[in-house]
Amino acid sequence: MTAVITTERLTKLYGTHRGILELDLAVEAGEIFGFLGPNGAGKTTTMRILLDLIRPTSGRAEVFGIETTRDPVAIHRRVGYLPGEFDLYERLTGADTIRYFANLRRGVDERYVSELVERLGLDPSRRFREYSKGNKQKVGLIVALQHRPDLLILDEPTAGLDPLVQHTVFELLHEATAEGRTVFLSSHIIAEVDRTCDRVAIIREGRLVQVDRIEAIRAMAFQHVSFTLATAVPASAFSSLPNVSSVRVEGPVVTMRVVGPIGPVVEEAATFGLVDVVSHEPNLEDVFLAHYGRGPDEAPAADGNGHRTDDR
Amino acid sequence: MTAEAGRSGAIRIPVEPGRAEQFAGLGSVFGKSIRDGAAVALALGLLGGGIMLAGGAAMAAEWPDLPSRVALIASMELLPPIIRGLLGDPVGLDRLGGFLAWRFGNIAPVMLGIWSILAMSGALAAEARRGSLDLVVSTPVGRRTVALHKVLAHVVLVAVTVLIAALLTSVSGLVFGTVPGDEIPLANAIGAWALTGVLMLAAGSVAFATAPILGRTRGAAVGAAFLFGGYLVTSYGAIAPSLEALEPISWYAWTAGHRPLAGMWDWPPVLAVAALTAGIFALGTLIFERRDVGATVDAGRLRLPGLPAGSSGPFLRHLSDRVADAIGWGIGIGAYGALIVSSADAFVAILDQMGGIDELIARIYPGLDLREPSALLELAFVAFGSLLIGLAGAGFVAGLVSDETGRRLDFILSAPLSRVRWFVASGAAAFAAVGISTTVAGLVIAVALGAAGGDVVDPFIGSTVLALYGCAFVGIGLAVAGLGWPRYAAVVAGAVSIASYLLGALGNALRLPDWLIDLSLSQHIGRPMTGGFDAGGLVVMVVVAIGGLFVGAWGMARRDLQG
Repeated sequence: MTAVITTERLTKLYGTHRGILELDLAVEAGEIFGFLGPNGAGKTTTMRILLDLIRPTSGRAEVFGIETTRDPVAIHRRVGYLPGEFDLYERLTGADTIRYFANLRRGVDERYVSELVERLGLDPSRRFREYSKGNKQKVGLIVALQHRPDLLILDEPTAGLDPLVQHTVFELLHEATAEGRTVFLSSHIIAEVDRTCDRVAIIREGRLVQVDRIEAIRAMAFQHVSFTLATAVPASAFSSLPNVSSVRVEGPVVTMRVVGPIGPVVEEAATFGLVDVVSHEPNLEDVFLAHYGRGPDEAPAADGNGHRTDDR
Repeated sequence: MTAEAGRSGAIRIPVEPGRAEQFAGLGSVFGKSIRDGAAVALALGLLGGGIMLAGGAAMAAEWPDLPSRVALIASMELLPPIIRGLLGDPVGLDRLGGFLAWRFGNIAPVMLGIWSILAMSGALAAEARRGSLDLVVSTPVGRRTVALHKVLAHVVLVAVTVLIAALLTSVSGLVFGTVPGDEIPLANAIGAWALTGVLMLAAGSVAFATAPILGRTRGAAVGAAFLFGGYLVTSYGAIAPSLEALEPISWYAWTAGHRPLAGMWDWPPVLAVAALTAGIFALGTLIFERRDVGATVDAGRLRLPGLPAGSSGPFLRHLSDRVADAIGWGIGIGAYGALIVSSADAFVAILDQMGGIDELIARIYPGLDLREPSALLELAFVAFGSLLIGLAGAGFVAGLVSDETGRRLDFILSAPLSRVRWFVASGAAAFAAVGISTTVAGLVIAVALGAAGGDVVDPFIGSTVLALYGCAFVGIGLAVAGLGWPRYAAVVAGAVSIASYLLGALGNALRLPDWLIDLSLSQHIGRPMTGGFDAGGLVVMVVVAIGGLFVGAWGMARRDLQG
């Protein structure tokens, strides 16, 4: 796989305020890469550095192997960008706005633009200032997508969109990656990132805390397992097992958290007369919340290795 | 251009620009800038040319033949040089071109330069603030090209403006010329207006170069300081030696010898200013290219000690936001007044050297003792100072309406707060901000007067009149905002303030009817710096201010909020 985006110890400080700190990232060609983090974590800062809208304080970033500060125009030729917050020319219609940006790029496929307009359900004849938040977002998405860029950098692409249009947007992104193009997106809708992205990076207070494939992150997360047994057993019967923690016993019901395969734990439960098993599959949200201390569990770095398996 | 329905009924948005769109349309950054600014360029060209036509008509009516013009020149020669300086050098007054150059040559770059400052300060900074610049710059066009396109488009628009004005100036000579030599060759008109264009662009270039660092408002303020500062130095230098000392650094002064309408050509300084302007534009482009998009330097703001944070209600909220600007305007206006006061001794010395001048001055300015510093303020400060306080009021209106245009008002009015209460409290804060500005200005001037041994009380009280004057323009802005045009409120208030100043300054020269000139509030200020008050004028100002507030509140209570 070829890295489309790479950053090395990328740092951006705004005076005394932290932007991002020593961020090492690699986004491979053809993947949908999710960038997760709460407000102010540094997601937008990272994206703006990739486009040379702001310059790093230290470290370096490359897009398509080109250092962002060296030849940003060469990068821009192959990138479609949707800012997280934007307002466009209020007196232009949606169609005018789309045309303007198409003209700045050249070579845009008119049929594809029409297709995007239709699929996203935009009425392009209205003035930009008359649009709702969602419709403004649609205009921004069309501007970003219309030239079929090799790399899409999308900051909160589904913000303000209704669920149907959100679905369409992710369809379009999958189509892009099916054509070998790459998507780098940030989102607050974790479930959507969970369903859509191939890999995800979690950023906290400007630092990267985890990068991995979605499945790997999930696998690293705790599963909540609940056994109903024939008789009550002491908690120590399970807490001594590897990868098991937080064992609670309430009569015949034993609940615990398990990292990794639950087979050995089930086998142990069977020895006490297993009546019922309930297992809650971990999702990205659990991992994300755990990283921020909001979930029931600690961060999944509990494997002891930090387990940033894919970061570089 | 809007979307079209194709044969299949699909929405079609043509995305290949035509050649024409590259130059005036959505085909490029340059084309879009031309498209956005063309109407203003055309309107200002017509305005500049229209003034020249009106001036020509006034000349034809008042001084239609050589004897009357000889009398005009004689009367001008009677004026002491220090007072003639107010109107610029009277060269070639016996011909229409010379008359037009004398009356309007100095003021035209100032009037039209405001456009250049607003356009160039906003070219990049306003787009950055809106967020659209991120999208434009992330296209393959590149930052340098984006900046150069915007600069080039503005240069073209200014060229269009001055060409229209030059054409109409030439027409003025053709239509209103009454003696041989009144004709104004197009080359001379273009030569004269080329200087205007260069001076406009010079001020705009300063705003362009500083806005990416300081933000749009401060960038515009720096550009305005150069624009108005240069004008003050040139116009009042003869009266105020301290201003005259600044002439070597004023590009107005450098180019004073270039008056093609009066037959005086001096291209080298004009070309020098043009080269300097190009250099400043290049510097601005370089700055934009090298800095983070949208990142401005926190230049620090003046704060009023002890002012509450402004969270107790809309009055204090708005006032706390406006205080820094209000103090800034006050210091600026006061500093200008203090500069005039500092010239008082030198001015009196000049008067003493000119025998028999007192009688002449008494005839021109009855009741005004020009040996008093406060009288010098009356002569050289009040008109321009009142223009500045009017513009400050327009700025405060802009802050007020930003609640609505910035979409905060939905939030604010979702609290148990009536629209009328919000409007009246916010409007009162804008009035208070004007009061702060004039009080600060009055204090600065009073200190200067005290140091010069002049009367302190009358000028300080006179600043109250300036406060009422400024509040009147705030009232106009409030009415416009409340009646449903919040986006245009500050523009209208500022435009009326400028129009009022221009009517007062140029109305007589243009032979405009008295009733029209009397519409200018600047005609009703009285002589506040020397204790002379126009009671009727003061009442009118109060009525306009309070009336505007109530009209605005009335409209606000009845219309939809704008998003």
